[in-house]
Amino acid sequence: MADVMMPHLGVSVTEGTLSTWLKQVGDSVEVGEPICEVSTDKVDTEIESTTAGVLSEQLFAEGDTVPVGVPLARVAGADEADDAAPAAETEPAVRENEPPMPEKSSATEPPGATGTGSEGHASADENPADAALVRMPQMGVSVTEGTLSTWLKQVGDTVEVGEPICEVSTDKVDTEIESTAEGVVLEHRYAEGDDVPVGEPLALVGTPGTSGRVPDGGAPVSRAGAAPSSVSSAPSGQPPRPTPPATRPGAPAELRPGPFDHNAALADMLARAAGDDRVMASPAARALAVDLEVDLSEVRGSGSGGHVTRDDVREHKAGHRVPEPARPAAAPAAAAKPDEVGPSGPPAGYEDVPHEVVPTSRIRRVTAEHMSRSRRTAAHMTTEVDVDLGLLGEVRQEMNRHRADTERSKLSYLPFIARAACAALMEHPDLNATFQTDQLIRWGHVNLGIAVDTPRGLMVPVVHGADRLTVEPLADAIASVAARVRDGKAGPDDFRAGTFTISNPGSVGAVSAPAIINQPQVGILGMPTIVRRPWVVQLADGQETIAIRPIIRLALTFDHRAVDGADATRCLVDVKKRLEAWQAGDYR
Amino acid sequence: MASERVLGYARAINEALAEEMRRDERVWMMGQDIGKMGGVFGLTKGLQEEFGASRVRDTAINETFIVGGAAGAALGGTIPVVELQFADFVLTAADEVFHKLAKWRYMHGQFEMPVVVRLPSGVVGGAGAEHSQSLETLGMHIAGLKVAVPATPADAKGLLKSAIRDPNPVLFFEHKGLYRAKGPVPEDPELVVPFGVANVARQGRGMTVVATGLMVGRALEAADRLSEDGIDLEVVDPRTLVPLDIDTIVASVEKTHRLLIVHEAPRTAGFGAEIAQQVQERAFFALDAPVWRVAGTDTPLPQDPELEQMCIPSVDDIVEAARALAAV
Amino acid sequence: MNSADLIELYRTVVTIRFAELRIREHVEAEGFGGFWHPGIGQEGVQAGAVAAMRSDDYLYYAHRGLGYAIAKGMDMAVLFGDLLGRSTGSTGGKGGGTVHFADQSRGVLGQGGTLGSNFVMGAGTATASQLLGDGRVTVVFFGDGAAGRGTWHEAALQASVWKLPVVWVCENNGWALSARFTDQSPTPNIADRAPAYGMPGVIVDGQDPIAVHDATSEAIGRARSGEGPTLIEAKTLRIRGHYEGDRQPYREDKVADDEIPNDPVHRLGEQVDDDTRRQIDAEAREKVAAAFDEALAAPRADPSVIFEAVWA
Repeated sequence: MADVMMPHLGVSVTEGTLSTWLKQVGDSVEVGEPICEVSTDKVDTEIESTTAGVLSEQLFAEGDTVPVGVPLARVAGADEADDAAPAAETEPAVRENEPPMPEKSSATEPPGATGTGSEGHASADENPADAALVRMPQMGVSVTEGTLSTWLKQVGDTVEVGEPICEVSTDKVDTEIESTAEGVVLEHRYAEGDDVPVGEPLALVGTPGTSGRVPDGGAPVSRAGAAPSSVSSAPSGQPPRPTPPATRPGAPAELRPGPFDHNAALADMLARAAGDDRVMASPAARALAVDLEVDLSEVRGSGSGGHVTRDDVREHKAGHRVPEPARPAAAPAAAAKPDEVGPSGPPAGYEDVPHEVVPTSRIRRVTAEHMSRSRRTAAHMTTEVDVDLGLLGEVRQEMNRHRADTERSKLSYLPFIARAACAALMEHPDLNATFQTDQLIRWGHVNLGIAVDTPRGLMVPVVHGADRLTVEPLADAIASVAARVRDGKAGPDDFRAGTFTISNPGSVGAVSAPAIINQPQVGILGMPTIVRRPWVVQLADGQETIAIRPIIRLALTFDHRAVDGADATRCLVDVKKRLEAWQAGDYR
Repeated sequence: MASERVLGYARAINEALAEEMRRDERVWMMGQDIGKMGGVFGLTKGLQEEFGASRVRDTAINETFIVGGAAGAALGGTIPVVELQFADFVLTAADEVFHKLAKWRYMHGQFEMPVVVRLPSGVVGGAGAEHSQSLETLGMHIAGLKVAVPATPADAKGLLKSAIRDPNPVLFFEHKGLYRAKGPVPEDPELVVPFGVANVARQGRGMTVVATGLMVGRALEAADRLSEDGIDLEVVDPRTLVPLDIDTIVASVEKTHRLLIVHEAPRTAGFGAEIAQQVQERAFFALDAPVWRVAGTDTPLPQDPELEQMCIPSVDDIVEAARALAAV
Repeated sequence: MNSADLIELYRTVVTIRFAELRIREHVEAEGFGGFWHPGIGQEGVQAGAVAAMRSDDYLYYAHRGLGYAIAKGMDMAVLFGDLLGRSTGSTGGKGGGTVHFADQSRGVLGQGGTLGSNFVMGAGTATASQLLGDGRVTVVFFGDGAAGRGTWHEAALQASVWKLPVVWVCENNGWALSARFTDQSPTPNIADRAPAYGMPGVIVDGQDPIAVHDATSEAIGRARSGEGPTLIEAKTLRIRGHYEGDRQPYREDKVADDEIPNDPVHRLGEQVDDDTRRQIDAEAREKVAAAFDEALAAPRADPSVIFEAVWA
């Protein structure tokens, strides 16, 4: 026996009038089938059954007013007979996903009127903020903190919204942080040189004399404005926010009710440990090292962040040097671990080899963590096609002749391939997406990440809305963002919200280009070098012959959790077709 | 020979109450709407008919009396089993629970306090911030109270019978979301589930997951999903938090070398923190990875049923955290 | 009340008085690990009401003094042991200062440190008696201050609805720590609240032990015969501060010890012949002194007591 309840019909609606019964006692009903009509002061609507079976009782008559959340009708289920009768009787009148509960206050308040907390909203709105916190904004997917380099506004200075208040440097960018509030700087929460986690308050801005209660000056957003909004309302659909690392010692503790990101918290923990001079080993590995009389400082760690695992200790004892011991839990073996020399010196047996110890940079460690996390998270698979760039070469040559006339720089093949990829992605949206187990978010535009080799290390700036650019503006956009990155002038927005990435190892001569997916994306296109190969071509008369053609072996690495090989290959073949069929005047 | 039948969690509790009242005339019950109505969740249906209005008493809305009166009635030689309509109302009788039940024997160096407080607990779908909490950790922090958190019909029945026979006060947290859950329950009326004995709900070698109440089922579902990825979870349900069978948990961690604790209650200072600490005190050198928690948000629970579900661990959350922890 | 009962009542009252004085002497001379809440001047309520109880009736006492337990027949050496933190105390030495003491065999069921706990506990114990049909009555003492607790309402309501065998005895001494009763009550009497719960509200002179006895006796009779609870308000007076050493800066009408208005000891003593009275006084003084010395001589509790009686 199950009840069909009067559902919520709107925020302020607490009851409705039962106008017509559509199902009579004895009628069978399906889930979703209307059983009655109800009218409220806002709407007239049909109430659908939430259970299947035979209508056994109408609990209200036509014309009755029915409060939200109370049973309208009883439906006897098909499996009713299986239930011991007393069990059915003792079952609670409450089901998941229905609003059934008699609030304790229901005796004095109408059902539905409780608990929405309208007074809370009202008071928040009516209380104008007289002081506000300016927070450290989000500056890229993998950036969890930045170093406060210079205060541009001192305590007592007046500041406008949007005016730079301080400079911050991260492993990716040096940037100015703009104030999100207007007034006088009342307080610096951090000193120059401090590392400040994303989301933490940097400064208090307000009217002089205010202190104490501090309404928030706004969510931690980047300069460009709001962070990408969540498309989904499902529990797992919330974009996880990095768990803020602990604040600096001595700073007052802050309340942090935000969601907990397991991956970020673990990565942060490992990153902290990696920055330490001590040997990083799991407790179990330490115990085993004592048992086996192994000096941990001589053991190379293969665990996350380079920590020493039990297997590492065993391998060391056995004298083996297996780069990546298989660990029972890590499904895809982490292959992208930085091959670093441990902080305590060279591995055992290498002591007499002349060497130099180079401490890893912060960006190296972040990259290492990002890469290994991606390998752990996504089911990497690569599909490759050979593309004949002969025709495109002619088109490109023609365009570059025009550009030379107007003193513009030459186009490389990259913007053409990027253009073709963007067009193909719009046809194959599952590759321009983010996978979240329960759901796939297809992004409406291509925000194209371009892997750039810089003196500081690998950077992946993003060209936003790349799908809307034809090849020449796209070339300009890529050149511009790459230049900003190389010159260290890129801002946080230059790294934000990529949806697909192109990696170009061909620029340094690679002939094959599988890559590691840039999380949280689904695909990455690898561009190796173009090789002039002997190639079977068809002549105009249908005869085949061998010719020398410029061939590139494009590699699409994709997350097999999100898409299957055939779909990914179709997308890649689409890129190939577009490139091989490129005529002068196309995509301009 | 005890045979097994399939019974609902709510029905199993009802059966335990009836059997214990038949067994011992000193056992009686009081609470709001438990008599004629049989309780807002129907847990006490039929009991007033069988045992009379004197032994199954409807009270006014007066939680301090329901609990404090039970304490006094225990001193007067009876065994009260009282129901608070929602576990959250334990806070409206906090003095009676945490001072009278927990400390009377200690303060006076004498007396037994055989009282069971039944507490419909946890998220059930839109009951709101004051009718949905998981407050079991409170019972761990103040000495003198036993705490049961059954996850299955058989445990609900067996633990309740143990609770009624215990000379100490017991906070009995029934999960509202499990009332309709069904499972095998032995027919033997002498079946009791002893306190302080954890149930290994699933054997595994890759990682220990400790969960209670509604979270046990979610952990088992997560385990099924993760087994496809080669991550082999062992799910341990302590069944009672006071006393806590830390030995079984530690033995499991010594086998799997990884520990994930799942609770519906908010993350901060939940029982997960206590278990994590006890494990690292006893088995630090068995750990391959940090002890990890999947828990409710550090927020009140919103009334909206969808938002509410986002505040407590889902199967996905457990899968995600277990994957991350397995990869450390 | 016959003369033998009257003499026994006098013996109880005067014993309580000597106990009060002996404890104060100790507190002033030795200092003390906790707070002693003196009950001097209120002996008439405590002794008078308890004298109306059967030995197996249940008692929940209030925090001011030891008179209730002395009247209920608890061993004074044990009581002083609780007060002084001695292993011979009924709590095994966990007490000290403001005391929890109990004697299951005499129905002395203890006290909650959060005032007002006794209301719900007492109603519960009376429920047990009603269920078991054991014929016992529960008497709950409380002060005018504790009557402000919500537990009073919850317990009084249920006790009347269920016609529980319980008697509520309020010692209205006019003060709740620094709060004057008249400042915290909308009506002049606690007894005025009884009609709301459908029970008799009786006001008696708390300085008259016989009047208190008679009122309590009638109420216990009602309770035992199933007619439900009664609220007795005994008007008395707080002589000392909230605790011994409280200088009562909040209070202008301080009372000196030697001028206790309507001193119950004197009022009752006047009804006992001089020789008997002198003899009782001497015996009581000696008994108190001996019990106190016995308690002082007893060992303090072993620290292991900390871990005892947490669990049954």
